[in-house]
Amino acid sequence: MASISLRNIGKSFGQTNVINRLGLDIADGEFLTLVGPSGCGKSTLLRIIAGLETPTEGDVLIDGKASIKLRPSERNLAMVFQSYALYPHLSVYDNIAVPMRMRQFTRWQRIPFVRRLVKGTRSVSQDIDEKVKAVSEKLGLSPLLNRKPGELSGGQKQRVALGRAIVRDPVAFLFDEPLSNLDAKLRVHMRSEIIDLQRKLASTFVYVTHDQAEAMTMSDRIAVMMQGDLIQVGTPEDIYLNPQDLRVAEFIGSPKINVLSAMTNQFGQVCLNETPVRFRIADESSTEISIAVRPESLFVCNPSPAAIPGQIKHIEYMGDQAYLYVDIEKQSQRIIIKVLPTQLAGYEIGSAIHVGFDAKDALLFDQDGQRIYATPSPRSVVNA
Amino acid sequence: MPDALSRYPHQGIAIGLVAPAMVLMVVILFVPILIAFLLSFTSYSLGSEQLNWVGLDNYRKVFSKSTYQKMFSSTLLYVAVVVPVSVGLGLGASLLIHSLKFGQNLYKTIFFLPVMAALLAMAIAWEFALHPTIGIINHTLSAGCESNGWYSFATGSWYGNDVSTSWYGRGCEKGFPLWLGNKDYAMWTIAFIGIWQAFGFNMVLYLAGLSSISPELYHSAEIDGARSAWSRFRLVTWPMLGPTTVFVLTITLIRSFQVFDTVEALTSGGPVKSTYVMMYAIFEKAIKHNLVGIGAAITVVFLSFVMLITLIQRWLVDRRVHYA
Ligand SMILES: Nc1ncnc2c1ncn2[C@@H]1O[C@H](COP(=O)(O)OP(=O)(O)O)[C@@H](O)[C@H]1O
Ligand SMILES: [Mg+2]
Repeated sequence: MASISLRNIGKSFGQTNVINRLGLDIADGEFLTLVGPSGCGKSTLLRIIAGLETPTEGDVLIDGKASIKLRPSERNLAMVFQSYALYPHLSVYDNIAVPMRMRQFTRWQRIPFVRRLVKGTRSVSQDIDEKVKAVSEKLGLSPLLNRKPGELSGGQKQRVALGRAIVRDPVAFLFDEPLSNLDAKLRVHMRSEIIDLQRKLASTFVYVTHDQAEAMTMSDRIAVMMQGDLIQVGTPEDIYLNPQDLRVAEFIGSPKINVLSAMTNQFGQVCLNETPVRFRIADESSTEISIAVRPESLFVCNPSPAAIPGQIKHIEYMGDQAYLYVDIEKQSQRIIIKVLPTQLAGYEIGSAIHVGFDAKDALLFDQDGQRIYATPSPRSVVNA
Repeated sequence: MPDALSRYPHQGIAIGLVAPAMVLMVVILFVPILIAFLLSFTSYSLGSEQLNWVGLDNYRKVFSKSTYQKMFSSTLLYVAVVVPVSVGLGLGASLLIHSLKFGQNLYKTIFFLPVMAALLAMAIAWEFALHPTIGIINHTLSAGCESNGWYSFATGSWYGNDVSTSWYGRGCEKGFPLWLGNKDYAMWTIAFIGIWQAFGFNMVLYLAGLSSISPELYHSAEIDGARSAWSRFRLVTWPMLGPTTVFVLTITLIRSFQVFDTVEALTSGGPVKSTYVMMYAIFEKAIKHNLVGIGAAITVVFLSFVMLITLIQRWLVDRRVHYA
C-alpha cells in the first residue's frame, strides 16, 4: 500500500514531447483513473510509474521514496496490460505463480527439476502453491489451472492477468486499458469486479482508460489528460459538473455536451445569435465565447424572443429516454436534447421547436477553452 | 468420403481443378521416389539392357562395407557439428543484433552474405584461403609465431606450459596442417565452412522469430521480477522462440545431411574417404561409377533419414511448441 507522487514528469521521444512536465499526487488506497483520448500519453505515463520507461525529466515518488532509478521489479508494483501479456507457454497455474517464483526462489530453484535438489525448496513451493490456489479460488479460476492461455476466453485471460497481479502483495496496481479487449457486457461486469477487488485489497489503483464511462463509474478521482498535459484532476462529480476546460467538458459525458458559439458585447452581455441572453461576464469587450450545456439541461419550450429556434433532424429512442437532434440557425454544431419518451408526443423529424436552458446549467469557456464565469449569476432562464 | 463428396453437385469440377496439382505431384515427386526405391533392389547401370533383381544386396553392402561406414560417420560428424554450432551461433548473433539500437541492417547483411553467395564460388575462395603454403590462414598462423606476445599466449607458455605440447607450438615448429589434405582435419574444415554458411540463415530466421515476440511480455516479465537478462531469456525469449527453433533445427538438419558442393569442390570425398558424405557417395556411385542400384539404395536411406526428421518435427510442433 503506497502513495504515488509524480513530480514534474516530462517525456519526449526524440523531438516529440509526449508528456509535458506534469505533477500528480495519488493517495494511498485511492482509485485514480487517467483518462484521455488515444495517443495523449496515458500509457507512457503509466509506464513511467512502472519503471518501464524513463522520463526525460522529473521524479516518481513511491511512498515518498524517489524511485526513478529503481528497476520495475524493485518498485514492487503490479501491472495489468491491455493485451494481458500472459506467458503463452505456461499454464494458468504457472502464469499466476511466476511473480512468486521470481521473487521467492533462488536462481537454482527457478530451474525445473534442478529445484528439487535444492534445500528449502519444498516449504517455499508449498507457500507459493497455497497463494496461487487461494488467488485462483478468489477469481474463479480453479477449474482452469491446467489450461494454457490459448485455451481461454478473453474474460478468463483477464482474470488470469488479475491473478498474476494480486498473487504477491504489491504496493500499488497499474492497469492499462484492461477491459478494452472485452465485449460490452463483460466489460461492464469486469468493472464491478475490479472495483470490488480494490475495496477488498484497499490498495492504490492507477487505472488508464480512454473510456469516460469507465472513468466516471470506477474512480475516486479522475485525471484528464490531453496531448501530454494533465488538464484537470478531480472527483467524477467535480469533473462532470465543473469542467475547467472545454476539452474536459466535451470528453466527459455521453452523449457529448452541446457547445454553442456566442459573442459578448461591450456591456459584457452574452449574445447568442445576436440576441442577448440573461447573463454577463466580467470582461466588457466583444469576444467570442462558447456556451456548453449538457443534453439533460436543455429543454423544449414555448416560443419567446430569448428562446433558440431550431428544427428536429433526428430522434433517437432508447426506451427509458430519448434524444432529439436539433439543428440551430447559425450554429455549426447539431445539438442534442435529452427528453423523456413521454415528452416525444407531437414531435417528429422536421418539426420546428424552441430550445431553452437554465442559466445556472450553462458553462462558459473563452476562446482558448478556459472556463469563465458569468457575473452576477442571476437565476434566470434563457427564454424567460 | 463418398458421402461428403456426393453432397456437392459440382464435384467433377472440383476434381478437375485439383487434378493438375495432383498430377504434377505424382509425376515429379512420387514416381521418381518409387523408381529410386525399385532401382535400389537391382544392379542396374545406365545404358545396360537387363535389370537384375538383387534383392537386399545393395542395402546389405551399404550397411556393412567399410566405405559406407565411413560415409555414415563422416555425414554424422558433419551433422553433429554443424547443426548445434550453427543454430547456437545463429541464436546468439540474432540476440545480439536484435539488441542493437542502430547498425542492425549492416550486421544482418554481412552475416547473410554467405547464404546468398553461390557456395561453389565461395568454396574456391575457401580453397585459396586454406591452401597449405600460399593460403592466408596458414600464412597468418605462421606470422604469429614471430610475435612473442601472441606466441606465448597461444602456446600457453605464459603460465609455464611446455611449448611443444601445445597445438600452436607444434604448428610453428613443423608447419600448420593441410586443412583439406589431412584426414584428421578435412571433415572439420568442411564442417567449419558449413557453419559459416548456415549460421547467417539461422540468424535471419531467429531474428524474424524475435521480432514477433510482443514487447509487453518482456515488460510483464520485468514487473514479475525477472531482473537478469538470463531470467528474461528463460521466461520469455526461449519459450517464445520454440516454434522457430524447431523449424531452424529441422531445416539445418536436412541441409546438413545434404552437404555436397563443398565436398565436391574441395576434397572429392577424400582424403581416405574422411569427407565421404552421403550426397557425395550417391553422386559418385550413381553418376561417376554408373552404379545406379547402389546409388539408389543410398538415396533411399537418405530419404528415410529426412523423413524421420520431418516426422519428429511434426510431432514436436503438434505436441510441445504450439501455443496458439
Ligand atoms: N516508443 C515510442 N517512440 C516514439 N513515440 C512513441 C513511443 N511510445 C509512444 N509514442 C507516442 O507517444 C504518444 C502517446 O502514446 P501513448 O502513451 O501510448 O498514448 P495513449 O496510451 O494515451 O493512447 C503517441 O503519439 C505515440 O505515438
Ligand atoms: Mg495506451
